[in-house]
Amino acid sequence: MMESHRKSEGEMQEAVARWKRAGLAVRVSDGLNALCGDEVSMALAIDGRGAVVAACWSGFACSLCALSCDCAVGAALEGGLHEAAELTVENVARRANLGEVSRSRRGCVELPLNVMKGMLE
Amino acid sequence: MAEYGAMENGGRNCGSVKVLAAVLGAGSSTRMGRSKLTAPFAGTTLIERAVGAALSSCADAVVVISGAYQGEMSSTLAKSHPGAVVLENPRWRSGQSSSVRLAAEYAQQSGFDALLLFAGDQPFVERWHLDRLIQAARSIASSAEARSAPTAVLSSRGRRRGNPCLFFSSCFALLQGLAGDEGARSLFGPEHGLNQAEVAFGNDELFLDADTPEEFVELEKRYERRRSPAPESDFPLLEERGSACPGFSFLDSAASSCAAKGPLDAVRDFETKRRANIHRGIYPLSEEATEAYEEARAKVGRFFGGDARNVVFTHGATEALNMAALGWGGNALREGDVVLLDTAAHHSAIVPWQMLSERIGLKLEFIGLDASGALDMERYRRLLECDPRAVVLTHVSNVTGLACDAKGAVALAHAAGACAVLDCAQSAGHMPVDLADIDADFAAVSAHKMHGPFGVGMLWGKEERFERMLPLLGGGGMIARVTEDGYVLSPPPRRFEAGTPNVSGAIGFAASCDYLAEVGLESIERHGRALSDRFVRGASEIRGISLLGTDAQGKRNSLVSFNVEGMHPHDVAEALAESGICVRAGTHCAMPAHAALGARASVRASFAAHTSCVEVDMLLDALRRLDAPSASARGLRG
Repeated sequence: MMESHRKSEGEMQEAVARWKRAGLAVRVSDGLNALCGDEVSMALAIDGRGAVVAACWSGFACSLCALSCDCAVGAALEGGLHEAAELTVENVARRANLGEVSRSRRGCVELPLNVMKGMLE
Repeated sequence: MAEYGAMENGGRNCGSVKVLAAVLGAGSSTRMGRSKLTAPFAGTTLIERAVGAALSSCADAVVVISGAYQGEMSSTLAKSHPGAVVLENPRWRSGQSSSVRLAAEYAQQSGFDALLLFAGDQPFVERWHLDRLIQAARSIASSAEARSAPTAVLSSRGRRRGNPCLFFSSCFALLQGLAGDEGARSLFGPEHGLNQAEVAFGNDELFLDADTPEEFVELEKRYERRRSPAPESDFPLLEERGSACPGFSFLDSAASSCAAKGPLDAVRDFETKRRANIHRGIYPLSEEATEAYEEARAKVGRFFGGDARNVVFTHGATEALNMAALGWGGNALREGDVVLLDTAAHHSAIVPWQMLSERIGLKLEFIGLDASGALDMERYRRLLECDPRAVVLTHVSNVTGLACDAKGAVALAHAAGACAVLDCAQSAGHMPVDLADIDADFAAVSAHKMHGPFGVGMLWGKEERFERMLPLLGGGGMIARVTEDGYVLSPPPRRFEAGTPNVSGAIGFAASCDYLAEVGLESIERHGRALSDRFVRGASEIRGISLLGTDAQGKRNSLVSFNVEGMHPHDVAEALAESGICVRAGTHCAMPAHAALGARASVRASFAAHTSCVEVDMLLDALRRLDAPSASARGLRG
């Protein structure tokens, strides 16, 4: 079972404030899927060496979107922001043992990946 | 598969539990005075209806137990279901138990694992009721309780329990011990120690039957009221999908309706016999094509209360609404002009005005929704005092299914001096829409939501409004003259149809108007409201279902949006899809509407002329059985 990095909006705001007080660099990005209403925010805390030391996400997400968020955040914690930003739908499907993601649900998986890419900007 | 003489049921085996469905029809109908099962009933007979339901279920085989009216029953079924196995019960006079004993003996001798009993005189028992019982039996067959003691699966509704009932083979000895006029229900008392599983249904009519002529007439009337105005056989896709997937239920007509045979045939007929470009060639084939296209325009115009001069063929309602905004508004409006927009609008009735406003600086005001989720008429009246130049209204919301008083709202707009644009994408084809009577300046319609083809729709317009509208596309067919110095436009409506239009689409569109007129728009409207009411009533009994918009009855037209507590709409839709139920999930291209209704997204079930009460009941049943945690887990597993 994949680890969940989901927090409520309030919890995420508290986490971000805590990271900033600790002197960590914080990046936040969000995204919306207008078709399904999914809306996701992600936050990363990055230390002086550029490693992602804490991360979380919050928002309105279907189960596939939530899974993809957890994959993306998990990847950032394991391998850093750049590695996470390169994740593809297929990567997520493999990591989460999803099998093939149907065309109509690709957007659900892509949204968090685009949010993670948005961290680089 | 066991060797047996019963009619094999098309191989739709539901797993390892082999089920014989027995339709009980041996009784003498004493109080009827004649055979109630073979008397005409809503275009068929009760026995044919019951046997049809059993044969289309996933029972492995079906028998009919006859008795008092053996000859009539056999000859009736020989015509409708040739090959139907009718077992004559020679002891029918001794009471109902003799039929149950016969069915149980037969099931035992033929090696069935379970016997599904139901009475032939319960017309509201559908295939899916039988399938639910069989599925429930399959799921408990290997349980310790089912193995240790005689076990049955009963239908229930509230506190009432009854037929159809399924008995595992462990009950066959008990069933064969019944006597007199007691039916199988007498086994449910505690003295028999029967393990009893229940399948709860939400259908109040499930157990209805008739014993007297008066009851028979009432039953028939009630049954007729439930029937859909258009048969599924009018829609090839429903026939095709329905036979491949018996639980298939298409409840997304608001997105795109199923194409009806008439429009499909009209398109094919044109493409194979009269296809040529229009308004261009002078050879007979081209003239025929032109004639067909312009006749389609006239027909569509008449369908909506006007004539050919009011009809511009477009790609759909979205293009029509863009033309009204950018073509008319772009020419007629100036910086600072006020335009009122409907909060319940589809994005196509909002975004073009926002785009125009970015260009010329309009003042856009959203009217808002009242407490029921409908257009806030009070606020609308107040906003009209701001002297709007245009008002953009939604006839029926694609989120709530609530309709506005279009004629009244348009009249108010005109009194304020505003141009009224009406989005009829969800009303056209679902109710009578007389645009001349409503007096809209512009209106938008999509053929694919009216059982017609994709890629065609209509911008309805008053001639004087067309005169002040600029075409969005320039090219062939819409000009009277082109020189190197400039151009002269053709008169409307052709002015707005640059290039080669979707000719066969327009012809299919006209055919869909013919089809809907034949089915009857008033009847479609009544049916759509009845289905929505049925869903609203049923949903009120399911914990965790919240509707978008009012709970009141009689307000919705052919669609309902709702949410399930603890489940994302996508996950709900995916779970329903596993049962063959097709619904929409998301924002339905109406984000401001959702925001105003306090939701991010929703699940939407939408109905059409062919949608039956049974499909609404199936949807409610599926929602009742939703299990939030496991549905989310399904999402995790894909």
